[in-house]
Amino acid sequence: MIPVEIGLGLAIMGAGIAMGMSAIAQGIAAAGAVGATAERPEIFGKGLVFSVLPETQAIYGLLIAILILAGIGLLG
Amino acid sequence: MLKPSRMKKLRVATLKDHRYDLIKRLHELGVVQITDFGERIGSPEWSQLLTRSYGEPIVRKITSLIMSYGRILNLFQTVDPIAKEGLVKALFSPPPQKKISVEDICGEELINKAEKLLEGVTEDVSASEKEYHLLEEKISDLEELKTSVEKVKNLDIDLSYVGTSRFVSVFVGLISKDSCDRLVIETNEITKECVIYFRESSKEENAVVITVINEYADEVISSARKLGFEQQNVSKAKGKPSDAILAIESEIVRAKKERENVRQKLVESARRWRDEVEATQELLSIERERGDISSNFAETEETFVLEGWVEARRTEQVEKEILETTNGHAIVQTTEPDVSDDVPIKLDNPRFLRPFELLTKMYASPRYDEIDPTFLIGPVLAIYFGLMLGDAVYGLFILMIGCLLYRGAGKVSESLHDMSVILLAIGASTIVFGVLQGSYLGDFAPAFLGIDPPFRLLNPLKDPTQILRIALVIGIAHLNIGLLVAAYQNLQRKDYHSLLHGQMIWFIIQPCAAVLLFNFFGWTTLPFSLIVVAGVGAGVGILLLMLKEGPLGILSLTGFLGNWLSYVRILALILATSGIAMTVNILTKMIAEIHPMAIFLAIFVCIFGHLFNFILNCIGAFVHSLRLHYVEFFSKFYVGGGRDFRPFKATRRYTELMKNTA
Repeated sequence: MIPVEIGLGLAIMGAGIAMGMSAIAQGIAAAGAVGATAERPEIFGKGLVFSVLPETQAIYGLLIAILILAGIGLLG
Repeated sequence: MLKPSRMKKLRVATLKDHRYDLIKRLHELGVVQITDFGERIGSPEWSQLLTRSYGEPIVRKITSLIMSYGRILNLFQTVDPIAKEGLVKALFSPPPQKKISVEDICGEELINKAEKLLEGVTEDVSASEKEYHLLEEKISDLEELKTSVEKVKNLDIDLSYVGTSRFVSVFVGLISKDSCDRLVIETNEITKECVIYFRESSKEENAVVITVINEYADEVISSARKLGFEQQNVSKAKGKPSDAILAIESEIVRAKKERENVRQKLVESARRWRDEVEATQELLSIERERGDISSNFAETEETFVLEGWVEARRTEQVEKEILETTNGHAIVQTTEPDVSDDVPIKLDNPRFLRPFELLTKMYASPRYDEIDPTFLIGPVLAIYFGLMLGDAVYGLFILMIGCLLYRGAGKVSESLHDMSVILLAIGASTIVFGVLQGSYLGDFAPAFLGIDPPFRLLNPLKDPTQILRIALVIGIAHLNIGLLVAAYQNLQRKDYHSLLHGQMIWFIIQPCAAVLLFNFFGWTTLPFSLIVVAGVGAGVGILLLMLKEGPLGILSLTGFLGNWLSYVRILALILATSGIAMTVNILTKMIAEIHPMAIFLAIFVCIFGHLFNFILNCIGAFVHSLRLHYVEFFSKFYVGGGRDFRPFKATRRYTELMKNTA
């Protein structure tokens, strides 16, 4: 087994959580839009807008993950 | 280019004698949008002068003719359907629409001609049409009878007995096996003058014959129905069921043959008349539009007045045409629009930008005094898309599709033409950025061919922070372009208050915040005085924000930051494309190494994996580059909500006017 410092492991976990959690929240929002569209197909456009709005937050998750990975020297 | 095409309000007053000619001239010109004069006639000062015009009385006649023509075309379509092209053929090599040259006839003359044609066609088809419908009906009746007889085919009786005769009634039908005993008992309770006879029909049901004297027929049959007796109407069949089925079948064949003969006759008629009917219907529709438009006018006894919009650059031409058509007996007035006017919007871009107007309109057309953002969207969208998809081979694919579409359906349909130009632009940009990112089907080149791609400037998978920085620079630049446009608009409108609070604040805060950040993270050493100035500047900026929006103004800061960070999605999409492509390549390699024969499966996985990645990320890249424009960029300056310019124009699909009469 490769010895890994506990700090490094925690940082990588943090990066994973940052991405994963934000994606879950985005998924919930998108599911709401899909449900609404299933009931009333004509609001597809609006549904799309409301499901892409929170995805900015998912991108913050990605940003944080990359910053963490860069901070611990795994990237760049 | 910067703003929608300048419009002028057009007002024409002329003699009623010239009304039809003028309408016709404007219709063929197709550059004037006619507006409704109607509402103003209600006001006292106008109502003394003018009354409302009505549509030409001829319109009703035309409408009924159009409907008759529609019915005939429907018939033609049923008997001789125009084969629908496959999607691929329709998109990439559609057949040219053939056009019929027509004489420039109108009014009564057209109606007379149309009526004569209708008479001719009706005479030709009406007998066959009637026959055709009768045969259709006959066939469906026979088929129904056949299903009924088939249900009771195990009964060994002559079906001609079924029905009501002088003393007895005979019914046949189906009943579930569980109810058979009950049926016998209940019927016997009503009368003993009754014979019931069963035969198995299917697993659950029995075929049954009920014979009863007429006196009790109604009572027996209604009690049987309550038990689930499903009566079959086979009175038209003769002989034993098996013989009857054969007879019915041969009759169906005969009827179908007969129907085919009649259909052939109708097809001949359809081929003979269809083009002419379609062309005449189009002429009638054009004529109806001309008749209907007068309801927007106002009139006196001898004159009428029409109002509309015309592009400023066309006013002279339109004025000349109007005076020519009316022999100079017209007053033509063109005026600048008032502030209160709802001016229709015609976007005015150079040819190469025109296809991108589609993207502006998808959000909203600009208002009359707003900047038309098409020239900003077009090129930047192409760059974003290319950057996000960033794969030379995928780009080549898009370019090819764009090319085929441009040469195919792009020639027939305007919106598909625009679409194809957009595809060409984003395809080319994807190739450029694909080369810069060294991505050809992901890492296909180094992984399988051992070639290190040349001209590689960026490596998203190895060094995402580099692209992160690029994305953030692009983002701040894009947002500031938006702010500059907004500042320009506010300067033009002399709205200095909005200029200060909407844009100047950000031009103060941004550099100050940059200085403070650089100092905080210690990236560079800056002179102390600069830091103080930046601190004061940032403080003033935030104070101004709070002055306008109260303490919540501080949220605008996070909002701005959010908009900026949103551009990180560029990195996210680049990573998604190259990440999935790399995964597909790894899978391909793994499968290929199992066994020499597995190489076919590997090729299959490779093709479908990349196809999947291509489709998924094309959609992603397009939606996200559009979103960066619609949400982040437009929120800085664009409102939109203009009404599109819809000129009064004759649309001709099947016909073209002969040159000498036009």
